Amino acid sequence: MSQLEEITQAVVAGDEEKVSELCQTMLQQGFDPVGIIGQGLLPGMDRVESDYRSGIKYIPEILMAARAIAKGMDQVERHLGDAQIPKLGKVVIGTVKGDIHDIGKQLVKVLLESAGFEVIDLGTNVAKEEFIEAMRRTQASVVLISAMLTTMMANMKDVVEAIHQASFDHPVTVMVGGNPVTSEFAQEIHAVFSDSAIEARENVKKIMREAP
Amino acid sequence: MRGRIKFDVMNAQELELMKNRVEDLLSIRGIEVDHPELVAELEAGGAEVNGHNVKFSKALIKKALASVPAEFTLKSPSGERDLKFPNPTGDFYVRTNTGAMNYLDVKNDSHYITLDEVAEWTQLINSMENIDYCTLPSTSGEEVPVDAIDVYTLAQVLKHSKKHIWIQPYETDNVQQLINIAAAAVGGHDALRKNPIVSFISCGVPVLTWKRMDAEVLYRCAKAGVPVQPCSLPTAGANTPVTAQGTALVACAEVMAMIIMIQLIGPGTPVIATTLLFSMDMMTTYTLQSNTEITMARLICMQLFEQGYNIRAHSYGTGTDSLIIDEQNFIERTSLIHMMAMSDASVLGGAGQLETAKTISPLQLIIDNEIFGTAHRLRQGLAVDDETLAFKELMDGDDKAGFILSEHTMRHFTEPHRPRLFNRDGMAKWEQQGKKTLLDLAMERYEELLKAPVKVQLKDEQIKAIDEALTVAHKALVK
Repeated sequence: MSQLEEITQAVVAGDEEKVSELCQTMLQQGFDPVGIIGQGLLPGMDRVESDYRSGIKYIPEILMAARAIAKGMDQVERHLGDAQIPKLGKVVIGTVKGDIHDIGKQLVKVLLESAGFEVIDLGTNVAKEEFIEAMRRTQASVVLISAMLTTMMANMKDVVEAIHQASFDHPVTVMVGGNPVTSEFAQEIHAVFSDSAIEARENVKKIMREAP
Repeated sequence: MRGRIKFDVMNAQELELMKNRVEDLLSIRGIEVDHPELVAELEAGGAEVNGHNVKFSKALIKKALASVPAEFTLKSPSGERDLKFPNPTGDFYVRTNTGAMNYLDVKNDSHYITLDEVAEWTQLINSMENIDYCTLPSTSGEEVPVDAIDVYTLAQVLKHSKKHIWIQPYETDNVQQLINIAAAAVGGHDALRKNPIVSFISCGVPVLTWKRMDAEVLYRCAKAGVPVQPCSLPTAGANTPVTAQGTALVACAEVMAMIIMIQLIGPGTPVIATTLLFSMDMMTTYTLQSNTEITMARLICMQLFEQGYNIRAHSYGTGTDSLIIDEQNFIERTSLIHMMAMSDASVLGGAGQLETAKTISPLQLIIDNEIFGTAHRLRQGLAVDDETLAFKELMDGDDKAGFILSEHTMRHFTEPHRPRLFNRDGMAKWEQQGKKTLLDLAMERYEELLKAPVKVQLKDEQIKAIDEALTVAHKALVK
């Protein structure tokens, strides 16, 4: 088995210590860091996701794989020093004002980061002005807004309307999700709907691919 | 209680461990409360405060729990359906879904709830003999101002309900306005304290955190003497431990914390411990209410409060994760109802709800009314004595002609529960009468009940007082 395949299998197993050790060894041996990411770490997540889609693996196993990839990335970043690992894109994420639920948002964040996106997490109870300011400051092209409470859907609508009315010097897509949010509601407020964390990540990938 | 069957999930040692762990969490870890006035009064009452963190020593917990009223009554606006706690018959009470925003109408169209549908829903509840009180649905923001959805919905329900009303506020500033509107309906705040036709829900955010609005509910209701059904809504594997037991512990600790806070601010305020447990599906991440382990965890919570602390307890008695009225729906809700009927619960909730509590359906409400009839019968259990055994008749041996004409049959033949809408005919008659399914019969009952126009239940002066309070609330809340 090649060393890259060993890394892939350790990611699938969610064995973060092993991933870290293998990455460190390969980097010391002079392997290309980008190759380690593209041919060792990320294929592991592809396999876990394939198993997830087949109903074999569960969400916690995806998260364990994501955590293992993060450990590998740490090694790569340490090796690269000041040089940055290229990101696939920037997204802003937060839970609407009045709502302090964090779990779903965290799940989406982890999955996006493991897929190579830079995630600017505004936390919970986020005002519309904070979303707009973060979008302008970071030049993020997607903003993901979450609400867990039925009672916060009005706030979500308010935030989305404010973002649509604000001016940005780059294209912005608004995505919404959370327990009470439906595709009809998302359509009504002119936002992209994601039914789950996995779908949110797939939608972000699609938006980034199709971006001008 | 006569012949009552009871499911105890915990043995005596486990119950004692659970009590200790609840009190350990509250006395050592403490809770986080975003409400300076409430926190200041808790500190004055003996709690240890450090910023937002509040700890209750075990002695303080004991003191607070000593003021929980052993008996109280949730009043009904009509006076026809007052609910005494503990229920004198040992039975449980039933309430409808709270907070749903979708209405699955009888034409199978699902949409946001209108104010007219709130009135229709309330009128249906009035007619359901096995439903004891109602809760507020979530009226669409297209119908009423979004800042005041809860106050407009309450005004509508107050005007139409014969039964006690459970209120879920949506904003901090709305809490006092909701209390004011309820007070207007009964003639003022003192009258509301004596005649609590409404009670409130307050929810912790797991783990052991209260945002301002829910802390405001505790604070204002304790001051006003309005009953609270303090509620924990944990989701196993998401914001609480993945084990049902760990989630039950968090839920019980959160509810206990609220009871303590209420009693320290307003000793003697009626409370019903409300643990509404969910779990996260580890494949889809969807929130579920019908997971089997979580059902047993609800029984743990009921046992802890009712047996462990002699505090009345409340949880889901029905509901489903199915999106429609299908086979899964009926299997899940009936299984849950029967389990909870055998628990210690004093209140079972969720009547009429579908889609993990996000949708309400009038047809489902009518069918739930039937299922709860069966559950009430199960709660009664069966007494075993010579009369119920028909021992004398059997010893006499005078049974060659069967029992249809026996005196014993004459004494007991009305006892077997007979659901109004369930088929009890043979095939020929059923075919002759149009092969009606349960849903067909529920539809017939719906049409029969709504033949009469939806009507208000209050006197003109009460309506006027509610409308005046609503106008004040509108001015205060709508930006």
